[in-house]
Amino acid sequence: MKAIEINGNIKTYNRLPKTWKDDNGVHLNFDKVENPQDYGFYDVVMPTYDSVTQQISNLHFDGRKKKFVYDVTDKVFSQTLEEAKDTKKSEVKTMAYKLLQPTDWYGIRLAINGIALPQDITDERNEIIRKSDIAEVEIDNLTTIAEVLKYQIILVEPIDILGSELV
Amino acid sequence: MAQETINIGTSPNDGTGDPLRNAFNKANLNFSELYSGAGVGDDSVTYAKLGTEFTTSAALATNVDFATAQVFTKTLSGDTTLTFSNAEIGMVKDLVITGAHTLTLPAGSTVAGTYDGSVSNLIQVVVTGASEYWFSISQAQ
Repeated sequence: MKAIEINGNIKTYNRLPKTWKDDNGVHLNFDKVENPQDYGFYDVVMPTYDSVTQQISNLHFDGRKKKFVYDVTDKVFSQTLEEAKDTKKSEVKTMAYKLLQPTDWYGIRLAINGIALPQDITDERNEIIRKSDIAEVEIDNLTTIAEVLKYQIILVEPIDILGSELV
Repeated sequence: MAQETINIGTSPNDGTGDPLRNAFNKANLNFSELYSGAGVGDDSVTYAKLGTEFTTSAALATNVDFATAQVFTKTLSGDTTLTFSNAEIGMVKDLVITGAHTLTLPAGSTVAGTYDGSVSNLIQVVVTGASEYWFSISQAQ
């Protein structure tokens, strides 16, 4: 990524424009220019940062590095730790509900007609409920908002496109 | 043919001028030249009568001298900035340029089309005003 500062405004480009116009003229085939710096274009340095807990802002030119750089700052969370946990546990419940819903009719059929659930269905539903219970306990045990936000809810094993479970 | 001038002598009937037949022959030759070349009968100007600035091609360094050629050719070997000289409003020139480098046109340029460094580009420039140029860029299909 490149950027240029014009009249105090910094404009970023994923790639150099094909044509560039400035006070010196119109520059054709500009994306092949030998020294973009001669025209005010410099690299933009994307910092490594934790997008869950940090944010980038204030793109500015670092004259020493001759590059445009971002400031990395910690995010200020609006939620308390307990509120974050409640939100995450709500997500667990929603995910479990969606996973159980397709087989709910087995339960309705049991209630109406007394037909037992197939064992594999029973096992599948029990596993979802077990994992959601574990997830809620794990979330309750977390001690920072960052940990809560980063917590990955996994109630079923991911499968690849061929249908086999990924290890 | 150089212009045929009728010798009219130094004074009437002094016997030093062209005979009448020779005089009219010169007149005919002059008119024939006009009608066969840059005729005046239909106000046309033939290609043969145009100056070399309208009929020749020249290799281009960096300055496009509008007074020297009609077509300018160049293969870019590095980033290049063109300058223009002797450009007058209404003039039209053709630049045939190739090369995968950046080509800078003078300030005051308006550009239609996109330069493609991988092929030959026909860049036609029209002088639309004082230090104002309109460029049309095209490539072979």
